[in-house]
Amino acid sequence: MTQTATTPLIRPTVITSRGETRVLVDTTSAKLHFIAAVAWIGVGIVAGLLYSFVFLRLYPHEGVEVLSPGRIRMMHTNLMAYGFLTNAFIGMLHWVVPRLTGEPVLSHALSKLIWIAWNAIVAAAMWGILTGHAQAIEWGETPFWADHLVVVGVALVVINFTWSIVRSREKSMYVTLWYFTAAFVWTPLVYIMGNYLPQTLVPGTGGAALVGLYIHDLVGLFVTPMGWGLMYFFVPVISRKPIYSHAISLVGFWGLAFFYPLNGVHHFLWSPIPMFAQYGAVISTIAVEIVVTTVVINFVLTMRGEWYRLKESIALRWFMVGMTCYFITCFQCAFQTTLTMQKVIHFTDWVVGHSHLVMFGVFSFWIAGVIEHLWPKLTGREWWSRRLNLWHFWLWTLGIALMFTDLTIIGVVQGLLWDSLRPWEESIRYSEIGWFLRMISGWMILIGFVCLAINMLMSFVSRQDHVDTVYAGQFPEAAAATGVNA
Amino acid sequence: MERFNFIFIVAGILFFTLAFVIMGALPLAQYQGIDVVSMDQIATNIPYQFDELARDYPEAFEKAFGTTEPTADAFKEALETGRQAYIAEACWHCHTQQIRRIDPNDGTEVGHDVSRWAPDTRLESEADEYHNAMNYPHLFGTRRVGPDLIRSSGRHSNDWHLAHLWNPRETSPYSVMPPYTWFFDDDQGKVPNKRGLGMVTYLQWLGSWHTQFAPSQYEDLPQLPFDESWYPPYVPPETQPGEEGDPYAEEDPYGGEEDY
Repeated sequence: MTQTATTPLIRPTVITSRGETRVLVDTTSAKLHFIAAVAWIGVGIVAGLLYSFVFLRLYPHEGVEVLSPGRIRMMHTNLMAYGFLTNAFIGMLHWVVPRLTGEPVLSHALSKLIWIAWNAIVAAAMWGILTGHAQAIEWGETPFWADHLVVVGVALVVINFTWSIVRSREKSMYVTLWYFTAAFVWTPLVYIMGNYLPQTLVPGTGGAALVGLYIHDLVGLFVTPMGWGLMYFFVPVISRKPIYSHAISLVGFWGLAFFYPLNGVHHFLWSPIPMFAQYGAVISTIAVEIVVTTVVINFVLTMRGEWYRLKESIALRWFMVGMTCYFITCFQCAFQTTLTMQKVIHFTDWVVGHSHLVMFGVFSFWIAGVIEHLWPKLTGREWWSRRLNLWHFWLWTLGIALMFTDLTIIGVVQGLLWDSLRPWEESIRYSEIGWFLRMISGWMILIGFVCLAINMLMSFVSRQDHVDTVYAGQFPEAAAATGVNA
Repeated sequence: MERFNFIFIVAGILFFTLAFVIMGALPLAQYQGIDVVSMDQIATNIPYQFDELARDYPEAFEKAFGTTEPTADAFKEALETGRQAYIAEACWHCHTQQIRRIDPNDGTEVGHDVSRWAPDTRLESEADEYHNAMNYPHLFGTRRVGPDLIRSSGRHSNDWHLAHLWNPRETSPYSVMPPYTWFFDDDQGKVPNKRGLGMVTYLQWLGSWHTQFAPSQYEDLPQLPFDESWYPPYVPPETQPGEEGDPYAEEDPYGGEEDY
């Protein structure tokens, strides 16, 4: 039952919330998922970088049909969503959910099966995209035949973890689990709605309304709840302080749950979709930003007096920089979603910068924080080099800062040039410098990734034991910090 | 409010359903009772460019569609092939297919869509243009690296499109579009294959539902008498191109070339 520093790899059996003696946490599955996530993000970053060459009229693979730039682009976005984020989230769930519920997942064998199945699905979907079977749904370009497999895979994941939550006999349900529970319901619904209805039943404009919902809900109802869930767990654990306010976290959760699903149509403002839907989407988008602010305030107040820990803990840095990016994103979104601003910046690189700030600057950063925190605990090996981790942190931080400011600025330039009705080519020529800087930021992100990958590999090889001070024993400090009897 | 069942039912099911009804089902209800235009109905209005494809590339056309005649069946097949290639290459990630209802000439302060993409017809996108078998799913697009394509029918000739697909910078010097050499059977870009022909058919179909005339039909148009009072009075510009004070004289980025 006691986990000592000298045997960090042995997962102790614990008394579960139902009084049974079981192995609580499946660290092997968590580790495998993080390895897969890091492998996929590597491929995804290379794909994104190759695509950025195209805008500089460099075609490193010109004439190769399977590496056609459009297909590379779809591979980039889909690998990030389904290869990187989903794998990393499942790995994170394996660590977090059993700890908060006091119950293991349905089956550790099923967890292994999910790992194999999910990564096979991702690989098959990438093969489908590269060979020209893509589906014309943004964030859902995985071939239509792959969608059926994805639905099965998502269902397995949901059953596996929901089991743990339902069986729990804990008296209270920590805020992290609210987010995860909601995401477990939303994700399959969103995926089925977005991938099936526009493809088979609803053509044209009506389908566009649904695709708008899908694009936004995938971020808002799958990635965001997962992200905030992990923040609510890891930030108190690392900073050794309970979350500031239970009431504010209630506001944040229910506000997100109510307003976020209503946002989707704001991706197609001024389109033939009926205007009442567009007005509604704009208003609820602005409402979401207010809700988001409460969550950010909750975390800032939690960190009050603990900021000095950023010096020591790189994981906490990832979380806090990611949260800053989140606030910037949402603040920006409250303005860019207005109908007036959409006239100018819709269709420009502004939007590309925005989505990179969300998916990379926020959620990838939080996952980097989780990896930073958990990799030594999962492998039992100390990080090989803190210096490399710092390089990783700074290259990614400066990379996304450069990419975001650069794309936002040329987005405005493009929008105003189009507005002036001057020749189309002019906007391309003025964008060239921005596209060059975007490629530079892509290189920074790739090099940062290489630092991470090397460090993960070398710390595994170096065999320097990691002394777990956070989750030692039966995780008393985690339990104290989250207020749940783990 | 912090119980599993409550979150599962209220946040998970109820709020999602509410949003789906308001943002999905209500917009859908606007199109209830309107029949989706089928491929057969689309094929009753074959743009003249398809006839030209059959005439100009007879061998490639026969190899692709098994006939030398621009029949309705061949047209349907070409259109479907073109749409699939359009999706497979993710053309829709850089080209939009919607003209938003904004334009400074329509009284809004900013925005450009109608004047730029439909300067002659001034037709913004309407929902019924997308209510057909070619829009499962729609291809609105969310990014414009290149021009909008919903009114592209007749904007360029077939040969222009093929040259553009073979090497975009031959027709548009500043384009960043990659070449699509696999739309051709030879190594010189002169023999389009089925996907190449399909892509041109698709591009020439987009917007063809609005009135357009084949070049030969212009002779048959009724001649209207010229009436000066129909037009606003001519006001000469304050400065002529090239004169001193012309704002664009110094910074012409095209070096005097105009032809693209």
